[in-house]
Amino acid sequence: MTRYLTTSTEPPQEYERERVPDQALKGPGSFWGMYAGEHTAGTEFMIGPLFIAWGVSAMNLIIGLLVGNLIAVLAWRFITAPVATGLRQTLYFKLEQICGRRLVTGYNLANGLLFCFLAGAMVTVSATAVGVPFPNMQMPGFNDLLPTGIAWTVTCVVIGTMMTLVAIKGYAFVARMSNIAAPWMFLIFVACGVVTLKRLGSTDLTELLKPAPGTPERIGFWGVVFFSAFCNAAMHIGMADMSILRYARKTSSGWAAAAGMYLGHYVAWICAALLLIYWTRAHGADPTVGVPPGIMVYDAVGWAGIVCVIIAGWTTANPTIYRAGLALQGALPKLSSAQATLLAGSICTIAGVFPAFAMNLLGFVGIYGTILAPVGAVIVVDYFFAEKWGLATNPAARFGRTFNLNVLIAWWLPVGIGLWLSFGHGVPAHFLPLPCWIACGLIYTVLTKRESSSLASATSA
Amino acid sequence: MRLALSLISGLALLITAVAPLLFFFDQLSEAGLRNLLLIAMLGWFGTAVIRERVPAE
Repeated sequence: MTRYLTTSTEPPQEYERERVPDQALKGPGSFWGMYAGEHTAGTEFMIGPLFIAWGVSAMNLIIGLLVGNLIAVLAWRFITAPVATGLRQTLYFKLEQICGRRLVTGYNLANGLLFCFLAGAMVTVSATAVGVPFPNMQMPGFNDLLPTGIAWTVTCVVIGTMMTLVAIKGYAFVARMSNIAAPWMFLIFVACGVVTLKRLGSTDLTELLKPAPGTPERIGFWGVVFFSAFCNAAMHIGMADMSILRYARKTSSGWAAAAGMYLGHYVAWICAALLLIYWTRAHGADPTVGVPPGIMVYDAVGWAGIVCVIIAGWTTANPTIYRAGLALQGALPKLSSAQATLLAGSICTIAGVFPAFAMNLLGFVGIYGTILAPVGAVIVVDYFFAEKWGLATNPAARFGRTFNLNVLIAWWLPVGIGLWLSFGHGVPAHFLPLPCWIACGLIYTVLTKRESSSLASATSA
Repeated sequence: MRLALSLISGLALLITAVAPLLFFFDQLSEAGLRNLLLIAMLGWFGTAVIRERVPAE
């Protein structure tokens, strides 16, 4: 999933406050490779097995992922890409014109912190691979929320510190490394799947992916559809990928997201899920407790697998820490870039020590999308509908505001209700980004329309 | 030089793709698979590192 967050080929800090010039535009080839690499990340090793832990059935997984990923691709192609290529601005710059600088600071803070927690999950995944040669290190299971011991804590701190230092010093190197590693990592995912099928003695996925007896079905068809469609909600309907697709020469480059969705979020997830199926059947592992990804991948393909898990976590965590640093710097402008990255890396490392984020990744990405995606609806209304419906476009820039209260209400009213439903009433978080996004767009439209009407009547009076 | 590096890296990727299939069809042992994947990994990343240091012709 999670590119989320990793825009490794994005030139950092270029054209941040201006339209991307024509000579900087890129053809579709750049985007297909980038999306394929970004969505084959360390966290894919967690998500596949988590579906099994949630008792998903074969057809729900296979068809649900097919449909959900298609929805995600369509969102990138028909919502994100047209806005990005039309405006050729970053999300942050566009938001500033709509929301005002002070409100964007709040968005940056939320964005930065959530990035840190996501990078922390990648540290956790990498630590499960680093720990394989150390049999005395107790690995966390799906139900572990707290560190499992001193050895685990030290491993996570060392990995987190290294990632942070590289993010401060060597972003360009990691970006190149990420691009180089992507095709190889994908093939290792596939190798894990093929080896596991051979060991299980069957290629009948519908039989293999049956939930283990006694595993409660916590996710059904629509759960899989909504999860796969909106685990990257912050990126597509949330418009964070404006920062990338603004470089696209044509809107059709939005189709490139299909590479990430169907290689990373389909093939890789199913291959990773098969690993836990094998451990459940051959070693009697409890699917609800799980097996650390490092151990499963090492068992399937050996040292190449361990390197794959570490690189997959590292190449995606580093840009995430870097971006979290930029977001935190936006919120705390007195910090230097290095200080902000250090702060982000420290939060990420602490989060990585606690397996809670990685082991609850399905819920976490839903919360992530619920909080950040609705802001994208404000941009969609401003870009597609504002002029048609008589709303002021870029209201903060137009009226010289630093804080647009309409956006704050439109953003946090549905998000607050969504979080209350999720934490208070157990509604799965992956169902929430879309309704919150729609509600945010509608509330923003109504509030801005009222304001425009009252401004117009005040002017005429 | 760059052509040679490209050929080696291509071969490494091909091995990574084909070795699991050979294992699947009983043409390769599990130990053989692991060794081939390890060699291919070293080839893939090794050529990438060298390519970074070789100036474009």
